[in-house]
Amino acid sequence: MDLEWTDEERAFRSELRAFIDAHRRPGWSHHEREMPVPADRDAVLAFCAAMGAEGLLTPHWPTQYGGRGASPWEQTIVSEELWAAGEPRGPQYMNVNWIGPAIMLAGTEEQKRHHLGRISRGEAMWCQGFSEPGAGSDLASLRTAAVRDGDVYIVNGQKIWTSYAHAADHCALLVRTDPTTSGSEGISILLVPMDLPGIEVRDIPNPWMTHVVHETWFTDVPVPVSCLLGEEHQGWEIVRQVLANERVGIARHECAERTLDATVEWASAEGVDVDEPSIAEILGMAYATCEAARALNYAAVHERTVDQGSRRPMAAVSRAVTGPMETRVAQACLEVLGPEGLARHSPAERQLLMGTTGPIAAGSLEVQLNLIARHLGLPKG
Amino acid sequence: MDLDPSPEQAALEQAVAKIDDYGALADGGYLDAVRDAGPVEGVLVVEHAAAALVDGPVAARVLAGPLAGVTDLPPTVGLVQLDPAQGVGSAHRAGGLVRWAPVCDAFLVLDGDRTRLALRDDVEVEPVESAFGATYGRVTVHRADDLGPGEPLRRAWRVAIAAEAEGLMLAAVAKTSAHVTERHQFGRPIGAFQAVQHRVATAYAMAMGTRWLARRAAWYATDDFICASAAAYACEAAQFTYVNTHQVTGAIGITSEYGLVGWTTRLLGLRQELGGQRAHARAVVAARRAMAKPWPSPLPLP
Repeated sequence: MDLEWTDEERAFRSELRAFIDAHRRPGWSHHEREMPVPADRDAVLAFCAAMGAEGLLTPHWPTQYGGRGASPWEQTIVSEELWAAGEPRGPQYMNVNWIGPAIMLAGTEEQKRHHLGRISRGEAMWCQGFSEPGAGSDLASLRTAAVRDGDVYIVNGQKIWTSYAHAADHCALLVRTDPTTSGSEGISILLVPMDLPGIEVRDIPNPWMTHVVHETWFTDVPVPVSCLLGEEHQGWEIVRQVLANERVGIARHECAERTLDATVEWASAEGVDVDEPSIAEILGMAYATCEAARALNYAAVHERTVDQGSRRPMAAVSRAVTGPMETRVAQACLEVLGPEGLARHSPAERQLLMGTTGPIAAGSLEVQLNLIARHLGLPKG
Repeated sequence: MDLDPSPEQAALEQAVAKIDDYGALADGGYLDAVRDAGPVEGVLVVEHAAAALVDGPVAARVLAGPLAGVTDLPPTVGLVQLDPAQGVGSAHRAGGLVRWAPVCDAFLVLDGDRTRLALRDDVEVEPVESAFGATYGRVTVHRADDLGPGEPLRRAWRVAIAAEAEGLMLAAVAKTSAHVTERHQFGRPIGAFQAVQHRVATAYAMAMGTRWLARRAAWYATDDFICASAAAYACEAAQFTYVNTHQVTGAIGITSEYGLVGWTTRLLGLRQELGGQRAHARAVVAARRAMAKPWPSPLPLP
């Protein structure tokens, strides 16, 4: 076991910090990351293009696809540093972590040529069309239909929680191409340009901010057959193989710790004595939980370096601690800030969103616990 | 980073897994794993000894002393935190009961901001009966040699708490997993109920979080933030594991014959050391506030 960053990794982190310092829009914060106005989207794309030019956006990708074959640890460093800096990449985690790898795994040469270069150069912004009103944790029950009609699929259906759909230029869309099937059979993946006719993105109002969640409607959308990823009806296998990558290595621990730091600053500015034992104990346990999540996240990244299969228990274990960590940090922010935490744009407001959605998004906490139960050999219900 | 055990570490684990006796650990040279091999090796020894319920101060001797820089120690060492209210004088009373005190040859003493070493003849030990998985004693320190600042011992003690706790927790979870798989009620194994599965799975996740945090803390044993975080999280995970392994095991779990209490009572004892979870949590914040941050806050300030 070697728990130390290598000299190369430390140098990479320093290089990255200098890059962020030079290219991040002054004053950038996690609020802008949601891109509520077009100027924020422009800033995200400019930042990503600069990262792409330096080879920093997809360092862990193979060289033939615009990466430089770096280890997943460098990807982790990228995630930690950028989340700590307000994530000026916007929603690149989807393209970089799993959509790109899915295209590498199952894409045609044309798809690889078209999409992978754009992603690694920082020119692309994707959303993922997975959940539906009737298909959340049970994702395989999805019903959005794609019916083959000559050279196109005609897509009809509704997706929900399509984060960043308002700004995305493509959607990785799960559809049912065989209407006679149910469950994981008969599902395909379409790489859908978001400017096709018949796609409508609606904001879903919530108390925290606009543009963070959306529903996306598909009405007779003609998607070229060339957008099919992999074989028709075999999309679930691709999803199963790459979905374990979806959130592995995302540095939620780093973001949560920085939010706690911001809470300490806010509270101090408001005259709260954060060294008072009852307050320090709340903050201390929140920080400690972040460190447990960090340690498990590293274990999950390591698991990914040694096992590219889809059964990775540490990914589930990591997420079973990380989700509740988000909630705990939110509670700490609120308790420490008191009524000041209710103000718009306070750290508590931001973190409450993370704490509420963290244990739900991308496979609920309960699903992770079920996976752990399987790992422990507990009987199926 | 490479989180796989090296061949030597794997061999160490295999060897220690067969040992359930303190004397055998000493005879095999495993008490000096940190000095002879490294901090992770020390954690591996403590993990296995905790799971095997070895009687004796393994974590103190294997981890706390050496990680604090004290390597020339007799086979058994106790950890004492003096009551700061007693001040420095000829007779200091420990701030609480001292685990394994009746069997220790020496004591590492945290005396305010100093680390001291007291030999058996320098202290008075009054044995105290306890149901918490170890022999305990009230310790009065009459004299002790000054070894230097106290912080290295405070950090190392926290690493030792976390490492022992995760070994105990994972053993308790393994025992519980087997029980809920074999125990049938309502016509099926109780482990088939999600209400049971999720308690066990959460305990496992928290124990694994403690494991990897303890290993990181041993590696970064000079880092106040990581070491305090490890102990604080270990205490919380220990409480969760105690409550939930017993809950799903049912009444049989409280019996000595069944054995679960061997791990869970020790966990509760560990939670009391060095001021307990709340003191560790306060130390986490103090350490964090002393750290340099690479960026201004990514959230706008008022």
